[in-house]
Amino acid sequence: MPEDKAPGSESIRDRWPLSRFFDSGNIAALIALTFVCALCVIAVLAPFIAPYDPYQPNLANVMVPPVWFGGGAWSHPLGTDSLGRDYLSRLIFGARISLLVGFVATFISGLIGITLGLLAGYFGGKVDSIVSFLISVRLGMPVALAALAVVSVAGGSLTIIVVVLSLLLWDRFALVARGLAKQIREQEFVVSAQALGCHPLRVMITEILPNMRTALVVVATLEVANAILLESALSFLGMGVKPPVPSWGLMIAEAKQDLLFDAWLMFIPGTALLFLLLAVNVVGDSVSQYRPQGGRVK
Amino acid sequence: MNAVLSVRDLNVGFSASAHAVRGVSFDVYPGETLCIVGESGSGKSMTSLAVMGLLPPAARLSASSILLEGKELVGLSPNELNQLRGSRMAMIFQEPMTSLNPSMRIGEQMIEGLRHHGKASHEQAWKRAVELLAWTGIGDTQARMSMYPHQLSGGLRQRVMIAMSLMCSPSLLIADEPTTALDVTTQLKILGLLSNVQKKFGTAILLITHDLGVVAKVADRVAVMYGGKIVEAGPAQDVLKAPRHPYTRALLDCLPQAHQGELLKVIPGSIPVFKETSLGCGFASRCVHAGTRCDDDALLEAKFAAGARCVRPISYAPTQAARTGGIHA
Amino acid sequence: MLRYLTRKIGLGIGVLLCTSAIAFFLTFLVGDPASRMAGESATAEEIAQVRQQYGFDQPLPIQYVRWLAQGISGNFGDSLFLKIPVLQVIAEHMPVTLRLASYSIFFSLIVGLAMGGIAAIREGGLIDKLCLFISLVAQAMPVFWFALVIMVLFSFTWPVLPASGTESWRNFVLPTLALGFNAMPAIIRLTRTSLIDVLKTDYIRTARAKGIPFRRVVTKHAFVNALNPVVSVSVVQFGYMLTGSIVVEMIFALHGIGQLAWSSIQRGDVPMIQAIILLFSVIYVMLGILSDIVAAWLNPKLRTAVHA
Repeated sequence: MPEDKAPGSESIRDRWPLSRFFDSGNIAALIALTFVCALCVIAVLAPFIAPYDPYQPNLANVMVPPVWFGGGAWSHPLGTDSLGRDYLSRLIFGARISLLVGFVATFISGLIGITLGLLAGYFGGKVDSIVSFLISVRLGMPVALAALAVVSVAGGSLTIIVVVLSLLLWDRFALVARGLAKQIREQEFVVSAQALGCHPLRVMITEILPNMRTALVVVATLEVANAILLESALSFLGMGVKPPVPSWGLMIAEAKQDLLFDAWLMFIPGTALLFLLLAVNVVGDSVSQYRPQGGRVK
Repeated sequence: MNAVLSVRDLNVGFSASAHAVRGVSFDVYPGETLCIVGESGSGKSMTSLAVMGLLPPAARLSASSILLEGKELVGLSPNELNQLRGSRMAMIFQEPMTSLNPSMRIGEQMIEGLRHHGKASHEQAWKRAVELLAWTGIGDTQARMSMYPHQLSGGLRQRVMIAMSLMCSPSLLIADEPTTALDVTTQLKILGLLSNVQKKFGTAILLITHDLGVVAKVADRVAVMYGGKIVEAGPAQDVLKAPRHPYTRALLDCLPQAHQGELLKVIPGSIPVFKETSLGCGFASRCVHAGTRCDDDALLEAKFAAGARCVRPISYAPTQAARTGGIHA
Repeated sequence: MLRYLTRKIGLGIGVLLCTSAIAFFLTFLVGDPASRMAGESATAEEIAQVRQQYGFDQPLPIQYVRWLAQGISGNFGDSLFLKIPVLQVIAEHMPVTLRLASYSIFFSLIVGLAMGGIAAIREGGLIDKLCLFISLVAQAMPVFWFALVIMVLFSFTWPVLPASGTESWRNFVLPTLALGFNAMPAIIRLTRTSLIDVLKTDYIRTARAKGIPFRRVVTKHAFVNALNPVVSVSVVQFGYMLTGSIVVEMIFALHGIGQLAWSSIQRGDVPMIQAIILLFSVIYVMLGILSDIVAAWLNPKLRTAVHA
């Protein structure tokens, strides 16, 4: 992508960060990205990959430990839970919930937040005041508590959870978008676009938005992690998806009563959750270290 | 008379091939001002930082000897070096606006060094600070001692820096471009102040600058640096009036005053980047006089003894006296 | 400064009005509170009676204003299940949570500042990478799972600490660890970045040029200047501890506000839920203002402007 030579009118158009994952040996980020993608694939193909039906109880085979304990077997590599359901299958299907909620909620809240932030940063003045006030209200609201309260009355369907989370996670998007929009608005190439008579909407979408790409991707990864975390926390507290849906948070909650002797019931979904969140965070960290136009910044 | 500072064969490098300073040697005597002049990238700042031991962590220093008041600095532990820094040798920097701790009052910053080096009590240090501040021309001293740096102007802050550096009565004061960030009138005042410091306390001053005008005003002797090496050295007036090295000549030629009414002269080409190891003269590629034997290091070294590191130094009419004193006075 | 303060407080009040409205209307979102309160087997008459008794038949905005007005005078109604004033119940539960939150922020500050500081001084080295790694893991770790893990490890596997109750300080060790671990990463990273930036400044170079040993330069000159953003963030983090306490108190059976919130939500105790959300909101807003004030105070330029 050729850069403009004239100083001051250089677009700070950054190259798509993805391509930089493959140079300069950032192994950790590569592994993390692969992990997340693999998990997505597994989640999509869950009905074909999972060895058993995650909802099918088998009371003859209750609480079989995972294969690495004595008493375990390869027929159920991760054991079975208190209702005899295969844990590996439940884990695989649980990935669907986490990833679905994570990405969809982030996507929607991203739309909300970026739009608000872009408008506020570009127009300034009254629009900015209104949006800033909205952000303050959102920040003054106890997120998890509000989510809990709403879900408790509205029921624990996946749709409700996604909607609730979307309405709660847009603040960082808005803040970052607003700050960057204000900055970028001052750049010469934006001013020249305006001078050419471009409609503000077009200016925002074609000039300003692309230059916020990297920062917004970073925020997005953070919020994906947040969303996954919140969903599992809600499920753990019993306010998320209802049993027998195999959300990882719910699986951990169900494992709580067996902590004394069968702690692996709690460890397995928790470890999966931890790894997923780690991977998402690592990806986000790596993207945040890339700067426009060349080279990594350590 | 013994030199206050005696540097022999100083090298500062950032890797095997990238050297900012190569084989630099010079002396500074009490009561005199030695100016090191050069463009950015010539290695002059690195030289001063190397003497103080304040090089960035990535830099490697090597020297045969750095003597401060006869004491060898090479090989000292950080602790020992700390004891000398601030007390026997002090340094002031280019940016007065950012060189003082914004969260600490002036008075506290002034007395900190003296108190740390164990030379005085709190009251004594405070008194001395007030005296020095007043002497450097800062009025309303008591009030100023309780102020924060942002409440003072750039010129005042630089005076504070100078006063602060004198608290422990160092015998050597290194000034790295002390006037570059100041406006012209303040520049003159600060330079005048430095002269006064020298006259009153007999401090040796090593002044780094890129401004030949500064050299003309305050330098007793001058060393011209290019590409990490000293290419010419001698008494300031001699070097300025009758430069022997083509680079020095070209620099002086570039001054607007030199050719009034004509186009500004420039030196074609650009300064060597670190990584280009130069055997022989680094200026050769841009030099009008370049020719054979410019890559002969031994010859260049020999010629330097006479004042200029050049195989074909510019010569002047025999009536001009031979240069008295080189880099080692 | 005064004008700055009043503006902030005014904004805060505006925010609180909105959040309180949201808190109030939230619980009316789905379902009729009257029928919920009357019980599952109530007749239509009984439900209507409840509705009139509690004023649910009034238009919503009026109900809100009434609730707010009563609330300001200290009356948030009675808990639907405990039959005693909501405020009283909250007051009973506050101390435990305050204690937990204080211990936790203390813990995460001490560990976070230390790790961030060391990482900054040895930037790029092994310790730096280790601190960053720990910070990463702590950020990815779900609070509730970590709480369970340390409970298993330190109460069951090696029974050194109690898993529940509030008898002694020991009961607070594991919960503090769980909450504190969650808040640590932000502090570590901020301290590290801030200190790295400060160590590159000119005035640090000046301090070193005076011959002050590096250690004292860090503690006396660098840290103070690096602390500003960390303190502001910590104040806000303290607020987030409240939300985290919901899960932690539930797991470790501590009778604090978090657990009260959770059980109230489970039981559908509307007045309690409204009051708690409002309380959290008030605390968040106040902490936000406090954080701004602290940041302004730590900035010498603003501080001297006050006295000028």
